Amino acid sequence: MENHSLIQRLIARPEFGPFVLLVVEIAVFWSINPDFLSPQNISNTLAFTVELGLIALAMTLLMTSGEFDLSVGSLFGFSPVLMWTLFNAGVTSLEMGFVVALVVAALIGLVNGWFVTQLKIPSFLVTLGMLLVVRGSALFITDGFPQRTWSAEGSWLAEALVGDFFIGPFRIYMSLFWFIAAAIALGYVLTQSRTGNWIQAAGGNPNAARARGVNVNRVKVGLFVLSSVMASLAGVISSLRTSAANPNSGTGYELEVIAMVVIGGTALTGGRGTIIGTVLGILILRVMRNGIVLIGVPGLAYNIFIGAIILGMMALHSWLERRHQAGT
Amino acid sequence: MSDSPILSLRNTAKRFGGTVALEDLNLVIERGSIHAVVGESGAGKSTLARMLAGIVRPDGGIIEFDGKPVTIDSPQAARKLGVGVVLQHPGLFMERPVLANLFINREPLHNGLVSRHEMEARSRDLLRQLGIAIDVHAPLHDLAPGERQLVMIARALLGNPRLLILDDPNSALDQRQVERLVAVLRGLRARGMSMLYASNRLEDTLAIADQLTVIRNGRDVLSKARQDLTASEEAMIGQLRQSLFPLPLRALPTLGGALRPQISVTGLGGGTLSGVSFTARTGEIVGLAGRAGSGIRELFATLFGQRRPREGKVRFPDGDGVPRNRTEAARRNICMISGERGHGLMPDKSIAFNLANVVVGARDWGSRWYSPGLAVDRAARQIEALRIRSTPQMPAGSLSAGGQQKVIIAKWLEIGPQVVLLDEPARGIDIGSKQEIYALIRQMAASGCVVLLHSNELSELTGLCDRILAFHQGRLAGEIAGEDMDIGMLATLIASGQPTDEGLRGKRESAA
Repeated sequence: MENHSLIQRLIARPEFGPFVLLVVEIAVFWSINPDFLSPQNISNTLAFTVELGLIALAMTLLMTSGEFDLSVGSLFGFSPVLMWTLFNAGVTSLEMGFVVALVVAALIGLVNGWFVTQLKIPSFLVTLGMLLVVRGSALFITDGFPQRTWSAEGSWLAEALVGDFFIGPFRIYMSLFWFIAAAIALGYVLTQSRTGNWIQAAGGNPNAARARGVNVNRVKVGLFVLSSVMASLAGVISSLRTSAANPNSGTGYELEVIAMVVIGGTALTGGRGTIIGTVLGILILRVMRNGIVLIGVPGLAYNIFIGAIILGMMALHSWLERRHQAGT
Repeated sequence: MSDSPILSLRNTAKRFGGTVALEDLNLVIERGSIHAVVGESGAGKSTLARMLAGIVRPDGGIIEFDGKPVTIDSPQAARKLGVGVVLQHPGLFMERPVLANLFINREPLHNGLVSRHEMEARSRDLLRQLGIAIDVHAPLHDLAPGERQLVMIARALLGNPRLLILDDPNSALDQRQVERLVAVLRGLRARGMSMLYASNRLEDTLAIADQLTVIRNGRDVLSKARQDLTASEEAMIGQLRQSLFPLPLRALPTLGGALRPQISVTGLGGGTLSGVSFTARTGEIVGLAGRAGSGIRELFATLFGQRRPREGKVRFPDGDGVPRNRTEAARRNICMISGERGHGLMPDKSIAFNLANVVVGARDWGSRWYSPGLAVDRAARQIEALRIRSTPQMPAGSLSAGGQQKVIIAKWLEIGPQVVLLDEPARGIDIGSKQEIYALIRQMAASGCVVLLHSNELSELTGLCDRILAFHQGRLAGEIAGEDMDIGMLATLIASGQPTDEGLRGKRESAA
């Protein structure tokens, strides 16, 4: 009996749907192409997954509070460009450039938050504007050319962020640990801390939250800053790992990240969010991209599958919701 | 010091734009007493509660708490003073578990994380006293409306306030829950808590209050201790509401008896509705009473073509069944007037445009096209007839709530309604407009419409209707008419679905 209700409780969790989807997906790819689960492929997939994942984690919190941020893809491209430009021009050390890039990202997040909370402009419009401003800045600074990055070898910053080593046959980057640490920390923040309660309250019923003395605006501004800083960090990590700082990188990531968060079960309208779900959502989309190529579907058809999955998940979600309401 | 009242308000005023919510309001709440504030909705009770909660700021006047003047400019300030509030408009988070709702922004921490254990421990006793047997980890939308309301009350009580403000706390509760709540409140009073209990249900309030203040149009018109209240004053409080309602107009005498066209509903079911049957004739106003979840909303939606019935038959005066959609409803002269703000009005569009949008879409005579000239003429005529204080070109949103409601009624009058569905038509508007709207409702009935009126204000029903159908959980619980129209009886009927207390008790036993 106890066991039965445990299973039922697991099924009732919002993360159950994405979890099943991920398992099915992995099983299908593996059965078609056993190389899918080879150490090398897993290592490759993980390396980039965690970079997008860092953005998605912060986005989960932001979307739970009822806002979202379209400028993250641009920041992903802009921050490494800024860091390398400062370094290559000899203005700062690499570490200082890194700090400057994060601070600039934080300021951009602050501006986003200020527009949304003080001028009451929807975050869609604010961050769409910011997307163009930031991307434009990246292109202008670099004249559109990638920056030189090869001198990062041996820097302790590069080692700490993307230093790689082997665990058995798996090649692991340090960024994986940063991602895991961030997921655990933000998971705790969202579900176990007062801040998490504020975030969920701000997204679920902002007026009621204000009536209870929650500073909704401060929560949202803080989350915009977090989202920008995480995007910036992810961009730097990616550029150190691939030894490239291209002002065009990160284009379209904002939508992929939002898709990850939504597939994971976070409500697009705010008030309900789950970090575990987002981790599953991240894996679902990245595994899909990798697996499709491995089983021989043309890579260009990738978006068809992503779109179909999002539609399918949303249909499932609304069906569950309606069944739930009919039941009460 | 200790004999000064816990709260005293002097000359408090608050206006929202052009609407006066509070004007020169005086109120003194003694320590350890329950002070009831009674008044029609729109009289300023909710504004008063929100002001003391720190959500709206007064424009003028003095608030003294504990004998010292204070400004309550934020919810935090109210909390610091020890004011706990239960507001009418749900301040809850439907997606979140009960515990998170109870402790939001007051979470007990353990090592920096929210302590679930302590939240459970601190809320257990209180929830039991209030009679809420629920899973505290379940999301709030799994709970019944009455339970949600109790959660909100529990949340205010958890703060251990010195002064508790309750704004219409029992609107969604059934009889048993109300009894529990009253018992809990009396217990708290015995322990020295002071309470402000705002309600528009005089009968419930008289049962619990030590003092009573009647407010009207944002002013206090009477303030007395409960036991000093004479029978004539009690009657006067009752009569304040009676004077709102115009005398009945006699229906056209030529349409006599059973030959009069009518709506007949037989065995209607769907959603929460099941087996609902009644008839309503032209010339009469039929009241529909019921609490949230009683199925009246669904009934209206079905009659207006927004919901498909699962079973049962409906015959309208024109001989056909339920309309398939709203457009068909409008073409068949069935109209729906809702008091829910934002329903049926385009606030950015002109009054003329708003008045035209039903008639142009629904009529089967004249041009199908919108003519600005005709619209302005029409608007001028209705503005004159309904005494709307504006011009046709003004945006509808610039009107007061009462004026907006009149525009909604006027646009339906343009199609010559046969059946009028009124869903709380006078909610949240000023007394003057209310009176005018009540008169309009009477007129509609007298000119040969079938009028169905739903209201949560039972006095509105007893004041206006020829007979009242009481709904309980989707079923027709009973009908009262003529001399039997009594608010207390009606309240019991809609709360329990049974006409008397004996019936209620019997039902409880059979359920147990």
